[in-house]
Order: sequence, then C-alpha cells, then structure tokens
Amino acid sequence: MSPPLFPGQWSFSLPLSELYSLRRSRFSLGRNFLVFTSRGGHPLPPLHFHRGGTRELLRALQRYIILAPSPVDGRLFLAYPHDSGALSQSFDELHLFDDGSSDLVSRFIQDPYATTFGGFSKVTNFFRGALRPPDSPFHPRGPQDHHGPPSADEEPGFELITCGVELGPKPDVTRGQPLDKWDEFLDPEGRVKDPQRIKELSLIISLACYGSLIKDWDCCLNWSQFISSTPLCFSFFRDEYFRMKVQWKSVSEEQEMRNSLLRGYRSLIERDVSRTDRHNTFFSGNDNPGLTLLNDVLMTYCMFNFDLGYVQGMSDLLAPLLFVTQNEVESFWCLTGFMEMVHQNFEESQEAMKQQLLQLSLLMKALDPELLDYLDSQDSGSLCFCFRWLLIWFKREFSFEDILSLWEVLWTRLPCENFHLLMAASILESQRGEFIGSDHDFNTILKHINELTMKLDLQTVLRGAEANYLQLAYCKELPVKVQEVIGLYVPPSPDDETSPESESHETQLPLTGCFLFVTPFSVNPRHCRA
Amino acid sequence: MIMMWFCLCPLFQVLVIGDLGVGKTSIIKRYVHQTYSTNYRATIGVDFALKVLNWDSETVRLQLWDIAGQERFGNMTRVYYREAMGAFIVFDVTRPTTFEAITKWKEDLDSKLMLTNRESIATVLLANKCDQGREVLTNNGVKMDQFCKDNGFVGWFKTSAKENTNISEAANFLVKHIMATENDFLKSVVPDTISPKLNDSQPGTCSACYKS
Repeated sequence: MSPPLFPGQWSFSLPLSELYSLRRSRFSLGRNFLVFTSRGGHPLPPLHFHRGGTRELLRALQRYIILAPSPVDGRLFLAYPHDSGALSQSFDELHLFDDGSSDLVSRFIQDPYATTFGGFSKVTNFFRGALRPPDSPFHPRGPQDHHGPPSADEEPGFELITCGVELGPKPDVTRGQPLDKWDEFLDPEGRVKDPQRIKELSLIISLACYGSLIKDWDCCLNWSQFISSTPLCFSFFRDEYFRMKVQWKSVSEEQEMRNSLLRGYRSLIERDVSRTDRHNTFFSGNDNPGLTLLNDVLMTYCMFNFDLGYVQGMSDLLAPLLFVTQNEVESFWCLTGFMEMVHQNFEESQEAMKQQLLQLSLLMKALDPELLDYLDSQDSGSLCFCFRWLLIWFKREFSFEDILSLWEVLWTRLPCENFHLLMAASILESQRGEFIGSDHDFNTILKHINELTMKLDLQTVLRGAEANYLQLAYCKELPVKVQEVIGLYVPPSPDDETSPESESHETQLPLTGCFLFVTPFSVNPRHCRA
Repeated sequence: MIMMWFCLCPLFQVLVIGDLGVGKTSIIKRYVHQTYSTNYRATIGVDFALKVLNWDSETVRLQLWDIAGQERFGNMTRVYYREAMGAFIVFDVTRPTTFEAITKWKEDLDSKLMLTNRESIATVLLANKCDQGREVLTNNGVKMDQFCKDNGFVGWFKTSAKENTNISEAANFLVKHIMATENDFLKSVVPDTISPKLNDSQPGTCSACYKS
C-alpha cells in the first residue's frame, strides 16, 4: 500500500482504521510534532504544532480510537479501535466541520473513520500558519517561503483547529508606590466604603498600586476589624486562643499514647519547627523563643481545625506572620485568616492543587501555547513542577523580605482572582528561552524550575503577572474557562436572570472582583459591590 | 563532543524516600555537596541533586530525587517515581514509627514501579541518625538482614549524614546493584550480546560486609 497522500504535499488523509501508531516528538528539536504511521507501515509527513495544540488533537482522537502508550516507548502510541458505541460521540462538540451537520451525519454513518480523519487532517493549516514570517502575521507568505505549503485557499475544506486565542501585545506595566492608609477606604467591618472611588483611583493609577497595601496585617487578614465592629473586644480572641492552647497543653503523656492523631501532629510540628526559616534571626539559634511560638501557634491551630491538623508547608505560612506581628495571639488569628484562603491546598485529596495546576495550564495555553506545548512534549504538561510555588505562595522562591510584600499583594486580591497563577505563568514565560530549543527533559525541567529559587526578581515577576492579566482582560475572545480562572466571568447562580452569554461578552473593567479579603469572619467580598 | 560525552555516560535515577524528618535531604546534601546543616528546610514537593561518580574508569551520573515525606503529597510526588532504577528508603533509628513505615514505603514503591522484567528496582534500606547512640532497632544485625530479605531490600546500612558514616558506601552498593540489574536485563533481552562486566566482584549479600 502506498502512502495515502493527497497530490498536495502538505495534506493527507487516512481513515482512522488505517492508523497504526502515532509518535510524539522528543529531545532537543525545540518544536513539537506528531508522526502518524499507517497500518501499511508508512509514516506520514509530520504534523508540526508551533503554537500548541497537540493535546487538543490527541484528546479529540481519543474519542474515536484508543491510543495506548507502547510498553517499550513512552512516546509511541498505538491505535486501537474503540467499541462502536464510542463513535456515537457528538460531532458538534468537536467543531471540526463547518459543513452542514446533516450532511456530516450521513457521511459519518457511511464512513466514520474517513470523515473524522478528514477533519483532523485540516491541522496541516496549522503548519502553514506557523511558517508565516513572524513580523507579518497577517500577510501572505513571502517569496522566501516558496517551499512552504499551499495556502488554505488552495485547499478548500481545510480549516484551522484553534488552540489558543490571539492576544494583544503584552502591555508595559509600571507599579506605583504602595498605598498607605488603606483602612481609610474601609468601613468598620472591613468593607470598601466607596467602591466607585477605588475604581476611579485604581484606573488613575493603572492598577499599579496594589503592592504593600497594608501595613497592618491584622487588618489585612481581617480579624481585628471584626473586633472593632462588634461588642466583642480583643480579650475575646485572646481568651479563645488560650482556651484552645490549653486543650493540647493539658494532654498528659499517657493520654497522648492513646491519641495517635495528636501524637502525629505534634511530631510533624516538632520536625518542621526546627527547620523553618532558621536563617531569620527571629528563629535562629537553639532555644530561640521564636521556635516555641512557632510550635505553640501551630499546635493550637491543630485544635482550631483538628480535621486538617498540621500539614507540611503551614510552618512556612506562619513564620512571616509571627515575624511581623511578634505576637502569639495575633499571629494565630492571622494564620486562621490566611488558612481560610489556602486551606484547600493542604487537604488530603489535593484536589485544589490539581485544580490550580489545571488552571495554570489553561492560562498558559492562552498566554504562551507554544511553551505549554513544549512542556507537554517533555511530559511536563501537567506543570507539576510548579507544585511548591502554588502550595505556599512562593514562600521558598523569594527572600523573606520579598515574601512580606508579595503576600500583601496577594491578600488584596488585586487585580484579580488567582493572581498567583498569573505570577506562575509569568515566571514560566520568563524561562521560555531556556526551555524551547533546549534538550531539557522531564527531569531537568523540574531541576531548572527548582533552581530558580532565590534568583527571581519579585518586581519583575509582579509586573509580568499584571501584564498577563491586562493582556487577558482586554482580549475579546478570551475563552470563558480562562475568564473564570481570573474572575472575569462569574458563572451565574441558578436563580440569576442574566444569561451567561450576555455576561461573558460584557467588557469588564480589570478591577472586577478586587474587593478585599476573605477572612474567617468577614462578609463575602462579592457583597461589597452592592 | 561534550554533548556526546554526556549522552554516553550512564545516568541512574535514584529515589530517596521515607517518613518526614528522617534525614533524606541531609543524606543527599552530605553525599553530593559534602556538607551538613541542621537548618535544612522541610522538602516541599520534590528536590533533585546530581552526583557524578567515577566507576571503574567510567563516569556514572546519579540523579537523586529527594521526595517530600508527608504522605498527603504522595499524589503529587509519585509522578517522579517512574524512571527510577534504584531507591533508598530511609528511617530514623531514634524513632520507631519511621521504621514501622518502611514496609508501607516499600509496598508503595513496588506498586508504582516495576522493571520491565517484573522485578522491583534495587532498594537499599538506610538506618539514619546512627550517631545518636539510640539505635535499639538496628543492634540486631541478623534480624535486620532477615528483615531486608523478607521485604525485598538488597541490603541495609547504618548511616549518619551528620558524621558522614556509610553514605557513599551505601550509594556504591546501590549503584552496583543497579548495574547488575541492567546487565541481567540486557542479557535477557539480547542473549547474544556480550556485556562487559562493570565490576568483577558480585554484589555482597548484605551490608554486613561493608560495616566497619
């Protein structure tokens, strides 16, 4: 059997039933491609994916055939037919065909494999698009490209599988001085008194001023504001803290023998206290009272949330709180506020961490699909090497001083939800030169990312993250899923009259969703808009 | 040329696993950087270090994977198991619970990772912090040997990252086993191939031979 090529060199068609295997690129070629091999043993011309999309294609293919990794070569996938039931998957979901759907269905019934693969072969246009000189993205190929594939016009019926969105250029961002006197904007319950004023102010300063917003961390993590707005006074919180502290303090050794959970927490905390920020004078040296504080607050937090208990990373979150407040009770309530934001990171299921890695890859797909695809081609598309960044909000990546200002930035939730993911994306983008075209593999990617610790410049990363945000926010066709990640689109509640369509098209100001701090006690931030 | 050289010398991935705080990071830092500190931070996720060994006039590279000890993050760290060819499972001789966890770590490792010949990867047990003088657990060498045999460890060592006891011995022992596995595997796949022996002496039966 001869290779099933069309006369045009840059396109081919192959019934899926004839597909034998598929190989993904690897090593230092710096670009991604797939090679299909037919059952006759003929490799077809490689499909190049310069701007991402291999995952989409594989995912789509897997609706129709089973792609099983070869036991001897992880890059090689062998194709097997699905049971016929799987073929009844909706074609509409694929959006591969713009022909009339009734016609499609009849074609599908007659020859499902060929119809399907005919659609997939349209990805060759991708190759064509990628070969355009980068400086003239909207112009036909220059004469130097005469070896390139024919244009789409010459191949009617072919279309581009879109894997990303066209974003505008990354805006230049300058960040202003930190806002002082933030509490002047808040009412006693921690709500923004005049959202419009904030909006105006923020527009004027071009969102550049959300760094180091808060000098008073209690205020930021918002428990003291609660105090000031209620008849309860500080002593209530002090008493609450010591009530819980006494609970674990008063457990006798004998009792603890029969309490494996408590024993476990105590042992974990003991291990970690002795290795948390020991270079900081507040925790350095043996018998430093700071270590006792760290231990006691963490133990008391176990009593506050016994189900969660102590999980590694929490000591990293507490250390800066203790350092700044220099107060056991205050740091404890700050910790509860902080944990309210991030406790899901520490839960047994790790669902929140998986979710965030997924959201990060969604952002990367929009911001830099080529880089994501490169990482994917090295089996690193899960971005699992970013785990540490997200778990403890970059605590290990920046200096202690930088963390103090970074967390303030993140607590404000300005300019958007999940700003930490935009930071992660910004760091990854800054490393694209290091990755693409290199011989990094799964292992060395992790190594490289780990070794960025203490080498990153916080202000650069923040500017990059904000530029990412603006770039996404001003994109008209931003997929709803991406909008959701950064809070530009909030799915309507069931009783909401507004249709999702109309809302998603609304150009929202970059400020949406900026209102303040989630706290253990305070109002839902969304209510602040009213 | 340099690239070629790098590609040619063998690279072995070695996992270092065990309960939290048993000294995994300290062992790796001692082995790779010849340093020791009481101030190492708890590992979050996975860390990574490379050791270059001269092995019978050949260069061998060891990638040491420092895997966070807390079980909760197992989900996220198991992805790094897949290409490992050897492992250290570490416990702290001063804490019996960390020894009790050894079988759990071993079972987990075996369930996640099998060589193509259905064997489990070469795994060495490290009884760390032996400088603390409280190693009740490992005083009975015969029992430990039996434990290793029963649980599929190729050997065990009393180690101290602090005092640099037995760390490189244990690593050499593991490398020898990995290479032996490699050679066996090559022979079984291509029977006609004559594989050069990398080390004449067969790997010792257990670490007792290496104890001073």
